[in-house]
Amino acid sequence: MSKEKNLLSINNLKVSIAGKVIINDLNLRINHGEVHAIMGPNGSGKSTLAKTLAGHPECTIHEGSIKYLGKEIIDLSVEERASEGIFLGFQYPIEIPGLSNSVFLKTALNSQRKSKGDDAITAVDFLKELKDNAEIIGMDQSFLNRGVNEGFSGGEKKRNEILQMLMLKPKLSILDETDSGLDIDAMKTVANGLNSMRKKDSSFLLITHYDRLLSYIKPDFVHVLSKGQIIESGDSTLANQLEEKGYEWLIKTQ
Amino acid sequence: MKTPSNLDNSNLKKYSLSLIEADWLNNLKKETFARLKTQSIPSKKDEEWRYTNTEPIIQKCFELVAKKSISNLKNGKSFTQKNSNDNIFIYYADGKFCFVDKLPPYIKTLRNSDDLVNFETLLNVDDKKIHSPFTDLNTLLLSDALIIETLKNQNIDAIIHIIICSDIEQNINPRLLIKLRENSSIKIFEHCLSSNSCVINGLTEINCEKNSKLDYFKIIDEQKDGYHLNLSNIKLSKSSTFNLFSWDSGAKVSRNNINVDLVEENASVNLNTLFSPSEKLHIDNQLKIKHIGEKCESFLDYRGILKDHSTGVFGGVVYVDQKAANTQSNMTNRNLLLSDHARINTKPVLEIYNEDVQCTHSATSGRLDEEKLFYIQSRGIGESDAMNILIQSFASELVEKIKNSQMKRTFQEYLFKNYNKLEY
Repeated sequence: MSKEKNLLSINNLKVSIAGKVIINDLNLRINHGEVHAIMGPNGSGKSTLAKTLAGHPECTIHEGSIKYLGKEIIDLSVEERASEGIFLGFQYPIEIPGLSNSVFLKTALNSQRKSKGDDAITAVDFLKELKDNAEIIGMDQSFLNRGVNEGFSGGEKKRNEILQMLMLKPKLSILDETDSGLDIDAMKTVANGLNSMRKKDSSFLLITHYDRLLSYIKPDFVHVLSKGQIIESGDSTLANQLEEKGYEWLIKTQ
Repeated sequence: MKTPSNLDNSNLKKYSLSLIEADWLNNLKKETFARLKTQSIPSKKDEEWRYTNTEPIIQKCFELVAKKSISNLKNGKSFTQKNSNDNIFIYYADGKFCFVDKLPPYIKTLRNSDDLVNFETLLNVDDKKIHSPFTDLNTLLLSDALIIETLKNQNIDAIIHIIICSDIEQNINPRLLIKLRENSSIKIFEHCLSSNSCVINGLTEINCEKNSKLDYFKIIDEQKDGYHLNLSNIKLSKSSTFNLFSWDSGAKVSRNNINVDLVEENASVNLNTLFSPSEKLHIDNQLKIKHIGEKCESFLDYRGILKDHSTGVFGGVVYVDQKAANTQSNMTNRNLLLSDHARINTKPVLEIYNEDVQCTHSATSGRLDEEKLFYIQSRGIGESDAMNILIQSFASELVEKIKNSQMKRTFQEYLFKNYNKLEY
């Protein structure tokens, strides 16, 4: 365990996109090795929270702070946050035809190493690691030399996000609806990938609509987001309650 | 409207006739000169020349004629590349096609051939077509010509390199006549490398007979101070194929006219072009694809990458004749605008007179995609590298389509020359 108890500490965060306030007075703490799930209806601000943490330029922060390993990160660039160990698994991964998956990953990995003052990974080590990780998530080798996400199915794109996560070994992985578009088998392999990292003290913020994924990766905490605020937090049983009763039940009691 | 006669063309005729001694050619030049005097310089009022000002090109051309610039380049001096089974090198410099080794029998130059009848016929054939001041200027100023003519069933493995270069500013008027006989195939790589303020005004005639296949590669580089014009007329007979991969880095004005006539059934044309002007350079692409035969196909993939204050034009017309049933055609023009000052004018046009066809066209222009940039940066890659990656991947998609491994490598290296290769 690192000296800092909190890996991530969000205080009174207020965020807008294109002039519209999406997140308002949000507070959240994530410790090393914890898995947090954020659930909530459409439009509650889940994806905005994910993008804000990763540093998307369209998210304007008006108030509050985001401390990561005890350091304010609001002024860090997207790539600096990534190099510090924050990973965003995209809800809709982007296709980049003409750029091969493995070249992209190697460039990313070495950019991060360079920013830390480490030497570039050797081609042999890289390929070995890539092969091993592709195996964990059940991705065919042929995908590695194709254009990034080019012509991938929804499920293949999500697997590719997890592959990138396994290769980059972030301390905090924010996965934005990684479970959507996955069949049960794919979900199991994705969960395998996550659980293998969880053992190594990585932390997760899982954004999800349903508790399906959560039955494979048991979260330590579940939060409900509504209108840009966390309105309820609890343990994993909260997810089950939500599945039964829907969000209306919580929102009405507010 | 201005005509070339407004310019001081007293030198032009004398100069033109002094370039090469051959009565038949000089007669042709005299006819051409008489016609040129009656012609107008294309102006911005002509739809096809709307975005390209031809005046500075004509001015420069006449200025160079008056100077009688003749290169001091010693014939063959810097041309050290030897021919091999894989490559044949021909240099166009000092108004001549030069070569170190003996050329194979299917390549002839006007200056070194006794087969003048063939040249006369081929140069005259062009004469029956529509003329522009630029094609006429090419004829007037030509001092050599190159014929590549395959035999029936001849498949040539070597790549024919035609390197256009110059060490001083001058008019450069390459004239290429390429004829592929039945069932033959050949690969040609034209490389424009002249870093001085030259006016390159090239004219290329291509005729592909039944079942023949021509792979043409072209890179236009180091033309920042010069002008580059090229007109290619391509005629495709039954089941013949013409594939083009070109990369134009621009000139003060670079203008590429390509006319393809698919005259018989099952002919196929693929035009793949990257154009990437920077600074204040200008590139104008004008394409006319004419489907006359049945079951022919045409695929056009034009990609612009425009930096700084550069400008680009894409004008593509696919014409499908009444007789051209089962035509398949796809024309796309995509442009990346890397600065607020870069401009592109794009106009893809389909003219279809047969109902039984599959034809599509599209054009898109815009900056680098913000979401793609965010995605790449979110993996730890810095902004300028991320931009570079996106530009490279855009160009790379086209380069990856090249099947010949040597040419693919040449284009990849050119890609990395233009956009730094990532060091990872």
